[in-house]
Amino acid sequence: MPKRSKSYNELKTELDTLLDELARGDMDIEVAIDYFKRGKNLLAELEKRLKVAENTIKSLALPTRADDEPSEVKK
Amino acid sequence: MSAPGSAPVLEVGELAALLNQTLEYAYPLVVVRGELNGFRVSRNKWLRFNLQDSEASLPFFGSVYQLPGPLSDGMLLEVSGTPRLHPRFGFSVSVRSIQLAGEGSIKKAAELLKQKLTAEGLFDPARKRHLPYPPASIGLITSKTSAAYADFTKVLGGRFGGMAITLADVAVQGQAAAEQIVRAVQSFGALASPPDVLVLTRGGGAAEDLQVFSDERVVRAVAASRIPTLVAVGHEIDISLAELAADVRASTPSNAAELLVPERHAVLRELHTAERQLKDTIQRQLKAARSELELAFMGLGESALRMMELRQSEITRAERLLAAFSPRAVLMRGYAVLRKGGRVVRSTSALNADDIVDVEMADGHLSAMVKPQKGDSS
Repeated sequence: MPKRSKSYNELKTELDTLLDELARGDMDIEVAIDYFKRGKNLLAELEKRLKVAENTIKSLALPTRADDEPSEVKK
Repeated sequence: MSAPGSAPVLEVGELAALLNQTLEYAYPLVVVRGELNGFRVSRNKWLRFNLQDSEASLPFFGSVYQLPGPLSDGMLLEVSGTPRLHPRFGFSVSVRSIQLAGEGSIKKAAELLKQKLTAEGLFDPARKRHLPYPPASIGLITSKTSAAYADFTKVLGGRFGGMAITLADVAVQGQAAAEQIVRAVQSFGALASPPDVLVLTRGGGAAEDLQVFSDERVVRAVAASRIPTLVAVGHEIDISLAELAADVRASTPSNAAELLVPERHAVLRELHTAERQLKDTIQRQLKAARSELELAFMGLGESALRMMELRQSEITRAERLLAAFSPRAVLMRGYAVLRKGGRVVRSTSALNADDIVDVEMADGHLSAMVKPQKGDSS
């Protein structure tokens, strides 16, 4: 199963948690540097996501009967 | 069988079938507006009631699944259905859908339903879930041709991008609306990868147009949705029951988009703040680590010095002790070492008269001959 890429929300939550932990200042400097690197990567990824201007829109084909399967259709 | 020049003679069943064929052909579907009278439910399944006005009263027959909510006599309804002549029970209209008509009836029905669903806990604040902010995917339930759809997608796109929107194009008013909305909510919930949030929305309108948002089936579907819900109906005066059942309500379709996602420029500013915070924090930590290291170095220097001094004094003490035990130091005090044949003489008994011995003194050696002392027998 392909690995699902993290949502903007998940990345932002990870960044906030990382900043909080880093701000506590009670970790080894090597760990802090790793956190810093991860934080920089998260920031870059979040900015990249923000630059995506468009939302994609597709249609859900509603089943005609209640027990039919719904399906998604590209717009 | 028929008599010439007169109407054909029919069996009763034949006439009923003929009339039904005629009704089916002429009136396959009728929508009748009238005041509800004699409303009753039998076996928790079947509905029987009359619709009446000042001119007539007609019977209707249907199922409880078609109810838009609790009804009571006196309400004005619009009922769609098929007129039929039952061979035994006579004429009735088989109900397809029921809608409330008239603001008074709609409000009364909504009030009755609100009491019922409140008692069931459907509007309980403890049931409300948080919406992911911003969501990665949105299930949008509205009419594709509506202003609500245009407003929502425009405001959403202006604020944030990169989201996957899946539209369920449904009627948001009229006889078919409730069933379509319910099916859309359930269909999104049945997807293998359901969206992060469901948005059910439409613009404002008259009470009759908005009543589907207080339809019991719709309200229950919203409350039962496994996906967090946001319901926005464009009116401010009365809040629909679907909005009360939703996890979050918005006042208009545009407001729904505003509540759903942040504005990208504000988010960029927030990210820049976070970046500064990240840099400041790591610099502070590096500075602290450097100071700690310098202190450690300094501490290491002092310890080494103290250790050297300690060692020095230990060495001095050892040297003194060593000096005290040195044979030379003893010779310096006036003692001498006697050797005979290279071996140290420790007793007079080891010597005989005329033995030549070596005498070591502090400043050199000399040879001496042993002479017996007076009174010594050896």
